[in-house]
Amino acid sequence: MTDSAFRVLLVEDNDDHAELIRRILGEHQRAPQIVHISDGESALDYLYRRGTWNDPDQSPRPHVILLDLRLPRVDGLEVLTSIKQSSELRHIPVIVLTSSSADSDVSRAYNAYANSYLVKPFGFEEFRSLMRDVGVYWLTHNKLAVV
Amino acid sequence: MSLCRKMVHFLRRFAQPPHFDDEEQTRIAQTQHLLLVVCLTIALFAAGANALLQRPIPTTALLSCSGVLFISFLLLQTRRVRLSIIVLLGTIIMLTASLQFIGHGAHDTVTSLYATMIVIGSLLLDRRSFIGLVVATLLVIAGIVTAEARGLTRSPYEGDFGDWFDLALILGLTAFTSRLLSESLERSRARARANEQALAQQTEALRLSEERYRILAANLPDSAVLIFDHNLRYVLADGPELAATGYLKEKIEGRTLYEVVSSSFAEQVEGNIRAVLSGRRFSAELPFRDRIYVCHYIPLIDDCGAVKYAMVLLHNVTAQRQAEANLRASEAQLRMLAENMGDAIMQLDSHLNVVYVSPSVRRVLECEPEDVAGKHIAALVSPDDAPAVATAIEEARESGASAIRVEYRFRNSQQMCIWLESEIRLLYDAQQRFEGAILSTRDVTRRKEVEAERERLIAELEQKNAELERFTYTVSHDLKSPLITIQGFLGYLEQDIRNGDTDRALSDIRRISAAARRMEHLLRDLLELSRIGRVSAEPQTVPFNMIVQDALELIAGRIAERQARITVAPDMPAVYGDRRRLAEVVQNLVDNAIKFCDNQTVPEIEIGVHAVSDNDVVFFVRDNGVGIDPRYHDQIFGLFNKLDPQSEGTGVGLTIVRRITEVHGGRVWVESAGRGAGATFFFSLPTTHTQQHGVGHDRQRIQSIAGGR
Repeated sequence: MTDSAFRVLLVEDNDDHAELIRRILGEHQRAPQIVHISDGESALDYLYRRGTWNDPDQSPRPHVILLDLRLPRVDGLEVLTSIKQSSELRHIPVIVLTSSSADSDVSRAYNAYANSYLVKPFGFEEFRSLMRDVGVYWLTHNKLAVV
Repeated sequence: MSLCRKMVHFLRRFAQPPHFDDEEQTRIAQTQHLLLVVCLTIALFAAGANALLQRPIPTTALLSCSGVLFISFLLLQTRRVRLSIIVLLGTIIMLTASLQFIGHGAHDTVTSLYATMIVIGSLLLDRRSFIGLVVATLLVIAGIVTAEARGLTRSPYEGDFGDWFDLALILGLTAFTSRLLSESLERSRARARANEQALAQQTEALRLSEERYRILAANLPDSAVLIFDHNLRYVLADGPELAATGYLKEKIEGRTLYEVVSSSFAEQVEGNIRAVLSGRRFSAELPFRDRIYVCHYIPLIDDCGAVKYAMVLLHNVTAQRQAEANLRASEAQLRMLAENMGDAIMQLDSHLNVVYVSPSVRRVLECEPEDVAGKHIAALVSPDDAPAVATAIEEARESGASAIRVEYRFRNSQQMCIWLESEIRLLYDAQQRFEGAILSTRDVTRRKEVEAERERLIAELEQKNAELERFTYTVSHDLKSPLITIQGFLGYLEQDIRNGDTDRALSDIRRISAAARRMEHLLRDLLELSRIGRVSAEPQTVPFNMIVQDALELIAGRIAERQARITVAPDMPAVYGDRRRLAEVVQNLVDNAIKFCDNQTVPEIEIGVHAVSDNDVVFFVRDNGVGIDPRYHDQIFGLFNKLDPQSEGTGVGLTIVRRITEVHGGRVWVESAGRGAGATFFFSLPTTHTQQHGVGHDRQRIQSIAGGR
């Protein structure tokens, strides 16, 4: 695990979706290191380095968080709120990636200071195109805060 | 011609004596006129005869005498009657004196003229002038006698005062007698005149009194005046009511009662009229045809105090009687309305005390009118609502509102709390001062119940609506996920085949088929969930042990596979409901208990009764499984909610359990200390068929489709 690697924390309860995202982002020239966590409670544990993730070496800070909204135990919105309330974590861009296009979800997410809101599209090409764009934008163009 | 006519007119006027307002004066003037005409005629005749017969009276004297008479005549015609008389009499006396002087003195025949003058004077002059005349006459005679005694006359006699005395005596006597006669005549004439005047006055008075009766009769509305004499003859009959009954006063007056009305009616009223004629005075009611009269019988008394006439004053009271009858009828009708109205009617005075209460208060408030009458309005309102009602009335009074509506509770004589609604009409006098109020009160308990029920249903519907929204959201989200998976891996499958990567192709195909299967399970579970609300079988009372038995048979395979130990309490109470659905509850709970049990542990499951109440029983299913963090105790019942994404199933099992228990009027909850502590699921079920929330509402008809997040 090198410091130069670009780390993405993927919080996604659907293993298949996680696999799809992993594959597409892996196609990027600067393939990121992806940490996949499948429920909200574990995501918070990872970020706050609690429980199984209490070793900071095992839980390095991600550069970008991809967050699903509908998660077991603690849902995505709660995870988002917690991140944005934490002075240690709030600088990390959180990209909401969900199958819901409901207006209420979109506004709730932005009100909780989400940095971006993306809807999982149907169709392989559309999904791949979206994830490639995510890679280009967040991995290549976007400038991150230096902590 | 015209001159001639004027002359005639003048002469005619000249020949007429003057007329005075005073009758006496006129009479004197007429007498004087006649006298002058006679004297003038005699004087002119005498002058003519004198000239022919060569009498010693000189014609010039007679002519001058005529001139004096003419002057007197002119005086009379210019209305100076007394002066005219004095001039005339004075002239004749002077003439007589001069005749005596040139004739035979006191013994001359013309002396008798003095007596004539005195008689005339007594007739025409007032007493003072008359005495003056008599005295003047006596003085003139005295002068004549004196002249005769001195031999100044041509009389052959020697006059002495014995002659004067005789003459004075005769003239005095004449004067006295004639004056006496004249004055007595005057007196009798005055008496006659007075009598005549009195008679005229009396006649006028009678005319006026009749007139008064007529005016009275004609101007009294709906009235008539009848006056009868002792022969029952109509003396007077007048008034609007007479004409209204078709009688003409001209045809009645002067005729008798029996000639005017039917003999039977006449007999009926004769007694009354006779009673009045005998002096009684009274009033009585008299029906005549379709009318009703109030008759005032009044005796009319003459100056001597005797009853002269009987007066009957009739007043038509038919309209009043009809109005009175109508008023009684409408009052009775109002009373009947007030007494039979659905609302209780109350009248309050300005201090808000009840002054009237309708008998319908028995029905509405279920209390006696006597219990309410006289009380203050606050006494009729429950203490909880009294301040609000008092404030409402006070505010309405201050703002001058005409009506308000208040709702309040009331405890009736059976101590039952009922809801009342009162329409309060506030009454004000002309100065806008509060006078009191009319209350119309009805029992709205039933409506209040329905309103409360409606509020409850609305809240329930809103809750269901929110649930439905969440459900739709959840379903669309969860159904979308497998489709994204399938589409995504189909894309990679194509790549795999092109690249000849058989291993990844197989792995991708597995993912695709798993997603498809998951999709199928989601749809199956959703269908299952949607069926719960619908009745699959008639609800029945089933011993709970039988339901548990049904459930355990359904999952016998799974129990055997994990060698789970299941303890079921014996003789659990019977429950009321859909047997198959209730078995599903137990089945899901036992299935979950086995599923969330460590692979290394033998599942131990206990089914029993936690509590029993009148209407329901609380059962429990306890396990020794992984337990549930208290934070997630509510979440686990939500649709498609899974605490462990890797666990098998769609996450619909507990949602189905909750739906079934809710449809049966029960509820479900879980108790667990947390991870590794095992979990106990509790659920309540009804023991008998009871109506939920009353008011005929069948809770089963409201379908709760899904809950949770």
